[in-house]
Amino acid sequence: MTNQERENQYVEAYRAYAEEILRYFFFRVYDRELARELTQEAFMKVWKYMVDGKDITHIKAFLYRVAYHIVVDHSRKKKEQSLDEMMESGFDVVSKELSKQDALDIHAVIHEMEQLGEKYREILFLRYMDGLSPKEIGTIMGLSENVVSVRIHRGIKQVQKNITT
Amino acid sequence: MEENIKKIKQFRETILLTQDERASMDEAIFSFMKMHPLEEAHEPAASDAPGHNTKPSGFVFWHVVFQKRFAYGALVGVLIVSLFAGTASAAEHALPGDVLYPVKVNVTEEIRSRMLISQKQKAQWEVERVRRRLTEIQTLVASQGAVDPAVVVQLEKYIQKHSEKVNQALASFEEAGDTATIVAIADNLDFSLESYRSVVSSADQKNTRDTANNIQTVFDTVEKTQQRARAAQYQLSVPFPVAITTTSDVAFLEPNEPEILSAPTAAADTTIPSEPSPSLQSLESFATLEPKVYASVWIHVVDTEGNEISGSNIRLENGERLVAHKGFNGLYGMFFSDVAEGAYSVFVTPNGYTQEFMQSFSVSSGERREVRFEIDTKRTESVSDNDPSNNRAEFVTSSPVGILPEKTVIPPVSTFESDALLPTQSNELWQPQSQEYISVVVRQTHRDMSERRGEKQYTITSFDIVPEGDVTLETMMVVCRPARAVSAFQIAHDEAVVSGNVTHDAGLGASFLRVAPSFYFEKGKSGNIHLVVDVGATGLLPTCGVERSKDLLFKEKNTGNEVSVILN
Repeated sequence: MTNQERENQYVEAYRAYAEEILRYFFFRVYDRELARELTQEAFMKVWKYMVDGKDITHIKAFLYRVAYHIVVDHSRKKKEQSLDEMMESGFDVVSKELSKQDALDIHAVIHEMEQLGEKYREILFLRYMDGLSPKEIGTIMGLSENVVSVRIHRGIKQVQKNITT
Repeated sequence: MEENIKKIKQFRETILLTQDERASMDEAIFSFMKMHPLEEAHEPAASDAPGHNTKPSGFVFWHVVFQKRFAYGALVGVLIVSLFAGTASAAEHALPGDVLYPVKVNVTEEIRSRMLISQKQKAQWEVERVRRRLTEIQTLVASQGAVDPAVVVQLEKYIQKHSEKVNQALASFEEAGDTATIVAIADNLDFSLESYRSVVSSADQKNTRDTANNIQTVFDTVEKTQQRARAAQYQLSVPFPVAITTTSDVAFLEPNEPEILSAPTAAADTTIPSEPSPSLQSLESFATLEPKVYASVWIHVVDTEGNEISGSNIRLENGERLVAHKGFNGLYGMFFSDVAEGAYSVFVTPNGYTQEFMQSFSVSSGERREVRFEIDTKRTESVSDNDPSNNRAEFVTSSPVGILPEKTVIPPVSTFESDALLPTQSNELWQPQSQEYISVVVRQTHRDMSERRGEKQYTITSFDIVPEGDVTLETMMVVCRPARAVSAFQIAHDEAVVSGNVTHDAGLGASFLRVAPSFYFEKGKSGNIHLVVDVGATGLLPTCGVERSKDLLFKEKNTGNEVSVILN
């Protein structure tokens, strides 16, 4: 790729995915301002990577991977505002359209997802919080589409079971 | 379950970047790209520019990323010179009712607007456009007496549009607590209204009632915007007896009509410094000259391996005057935009050190300068070693313009003050003295703030802090997010009370606030901090807490050295 193409690739990705990545962080740190900072950091990291002369083939998947590492890195360092705290201050900090009941429902689902093991949690988050397809999740996690689908299926069944009992 | 999944999806879609957030992220990202160009030789020559670039994002990219002189040269060059150079320059002098007038307002002025990057500059340009419209009516009334009502209606529409943009900008400056810019906008509008007032009365005599009424409406629209700006200004006045040291770095675009210039103007206002300000040129000269724009400065504090030492205290000064907000850099340094041409000194106290470093440099308009402070931290890491000679750092300047000696040895810290809230001015005292690296951050979220919405002052909370582990002394710091919600604060520690003005963190952490001064706690001794925050006019409720100042320092290292802090 020429530099021009790489720059275009980057800028297009930035335009297209900035909000997706923002949401990714939001659902992991539950702090909108922080999510915004981390989003910026993620894109800077990707650019740094490109400056180091490396080409990126699946830039979307790459972005999510970078984001994942930033979250891991971050949670090691900081005690985040937890989902429960977020509920206390209310999701309305973020979204005014959300009714109290909806917020509770969402909270319940996210809470249950968080209780699942690492194996299922990240995949379910990517699927439902971030709205990615199983194929995209596969690319990000280095798994086959099939494995991802199976885990989503099992995971969501578990969540459902835990909520109703 | 299906239902809940759907709700999550709906909720997800409400999480969007606002226009402002997008703009500020754009600036950070594109500046970052500019600062770190791709490796291979890459000449952003004019022939490379948009004409040859078919991808849609290319335009945005070239526009924002490359040095403005290239962008302007290429973009305006290709666009204007080849297509409608004559039209555009002729249009610049068009009056309402002329054939070329819509070209002036909708094309040439729009292009100008798009070339301005910072929101401040854009807002100032819109204010200038309001003034231009008013002047046009003035010219029409003066030369023709009676003005076609349709023309006035058209002008009124344009003014509405410009004012709307000014209003939007005002709202965001208000949120950001940028009083200086708001004052400048209000003053400039004031000045436009002043010179326009006579038009209204003379139009009254020469025109039909309808036209005169329309002209009055135009006046009212501008006045409303002006009052909006004044209101914002008063809202932001800080109630604490605090010296706000942030001097305005706003330099207004000067009107190019001499008769207006000679009028007694808002330029006399002390909040607007008499710095060389970018002056308006007509479009054709604008295309050929180097753009008169602000410079930007990116400051990095790095260790010898090139890792940013975040949390370092940075301030930018012009002579004795603090020209740019000071604060703490993030993982990618600190970025100062809108720096006027001139000579500056930048002062840096690296996170974890007591010594302040300084470099001087001068920037010219449109320049983007990177200043690096390279700190040798290696020897300071072995802190358990009590040999004071180990507590040294070497400073090597790698910037082309450095006035420091090549190597400066930081003297070891031998004693420390304790137990008291230390003064904000003395870096030597309030920087962390213990050389422990702490990787834990504790934040306490205040939970019942929402009940007190509407009040001007909030007592955030009291913290009891008990340091544990091997730390002798801790530096704590108050952190509030979002920063723009806080306009002043007061911290009380036992008897001592310290208040100060807010320092906004530029660079990566632009959206949160770290408040100096920090304070110390001795091991085994609990202390009580009482924090009062003034939330200003934004109506936003900040989340505040205490953070250890060194959490970002050497983030990958020293993870084994964790300590816990109990917050009650």
